[in-house]
Amino acid sequence: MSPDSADHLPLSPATLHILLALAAAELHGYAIMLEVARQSGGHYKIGPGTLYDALKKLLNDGLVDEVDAPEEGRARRKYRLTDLGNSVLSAEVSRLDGVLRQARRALRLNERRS
Amino acid sequence: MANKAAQFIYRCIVNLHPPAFRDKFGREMLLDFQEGAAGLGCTRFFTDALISLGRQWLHTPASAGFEPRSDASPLLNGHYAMIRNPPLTPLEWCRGLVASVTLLVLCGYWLGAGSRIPRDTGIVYAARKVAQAAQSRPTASPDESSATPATVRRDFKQFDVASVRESKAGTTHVSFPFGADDTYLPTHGFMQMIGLPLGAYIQFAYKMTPAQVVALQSKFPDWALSTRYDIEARVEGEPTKDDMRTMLRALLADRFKLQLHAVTATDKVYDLVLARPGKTGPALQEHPGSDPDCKLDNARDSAHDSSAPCGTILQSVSGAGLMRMTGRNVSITQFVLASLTKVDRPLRDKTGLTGKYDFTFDFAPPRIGGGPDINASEPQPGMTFKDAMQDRLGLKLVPDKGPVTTYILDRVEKPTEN
Repeated sequence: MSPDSADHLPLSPATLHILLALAAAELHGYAIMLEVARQSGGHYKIGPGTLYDALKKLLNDGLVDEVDAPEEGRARRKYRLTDLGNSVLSAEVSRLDGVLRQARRALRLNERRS
Repeated sequence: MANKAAQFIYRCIVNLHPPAFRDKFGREMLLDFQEGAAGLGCTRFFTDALISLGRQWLHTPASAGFEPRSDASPLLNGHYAMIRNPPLTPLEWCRGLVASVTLLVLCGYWLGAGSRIPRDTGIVYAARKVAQAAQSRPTASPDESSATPATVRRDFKQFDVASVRESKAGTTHVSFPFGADDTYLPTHGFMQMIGLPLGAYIQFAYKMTPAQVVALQSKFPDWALSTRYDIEARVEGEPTKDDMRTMLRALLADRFKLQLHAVTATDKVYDLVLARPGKTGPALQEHPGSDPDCKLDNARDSAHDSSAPCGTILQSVSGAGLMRMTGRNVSITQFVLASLTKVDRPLRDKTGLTGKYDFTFDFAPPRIGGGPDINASEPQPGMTFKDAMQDRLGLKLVPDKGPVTTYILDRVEKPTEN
């Protein structure tokens, strides 16, 4: 994990889902909302306010950038994952993997004790 | 499409955001609202926008308030009063007054609507609704496509309004889970299916298995195979998933002149049986009868990585490129329904298991263009669905022969214009 990536961890659930959505394709805002809902099987939905607040931070941090800036009334503004965003996402997935392993171990120990 | 009053209110809330945020994302938020409000309901968007409004002003540096306004976005330019050294102009006082009154009206609406406002704000969880919907309905078998709840309610025969168009979207979107099982997210009578081929609509409407729809599609004309359609329809009330199927069948008959008939003959099937008589596999655990709402087993669910709402089956992607199927407090009949897309023959439940079960298991995804993974012979990461089911759930598939229903296409035409 690079130091730059580590600076951004841990990610909030919304940020994680947005990065995951953008890992597959360049998407505009509404498509990201749909993709997040699809990835989570409909369990997790974000509204535009949450989405663009997270995108604002991701753009500022260089994890995401805009594909193009459409003229008024034209195509939607699309976003894509940068190399830094990709490495942060990988680092977060690794971190969560470790958390899950620890959690399962702790729960197994707990079950044995009880 | 959201109605004009709702759009106006949403635009007002967006206009109240800090200028930098508003100019950057305001147009996108309005477009999102126009596309999504009809499916999810305006209230959620309003709630989310109000939370966003507070969040953006809290996080806006004090200096931002003294920055000159951006003229980059004429759509949303300067509709609120800014904190600055020169006194406010009368026009800005008026704008501030309008904004304040709008907020008061929204607060009044919030308090008055009370129970209609979702408790989740900003980030909206729909799982609870899915679970409630699944819990409130009886379990349906594959043949119980017209099961009706015990409560007296409206008889849904057809949509009040419907639009059928050739899809230009290039993407796929469905407004509720589209599978053969009963997992459903109530949409207040709204159905939005974007970018799906006719076969997918028929499969959902008639609750067909993949094999049935493939056989039917072999008789399709070329346009029906190559064209994708957007269907948006609405009915007053809160129809169930089976009601949606009934109304979609009527819509397909009306717009596509679709006519089918079913023929039942003896053919190849799979019997789902216990691999070891009387014993289930390690990952198939009977759900405690004392916990119908899954309130007592959260710890165990965490251990199993389960995120399926109580009473439903969820399919997702796990690590290492594997698919994961998770069920919580579900019947074997539900499992059979969820498994229909994974096998190439009809499935019959011969397990004799009548209770409710919890399970989680991983399996290799079907290979692209390789058909159902049950017949996969090339090495893949992880076990095939069939092998994983036997290893983890203790259930296996036994080839057999039995009655199989096939659908015959009698008539289909290009849809009429709306």
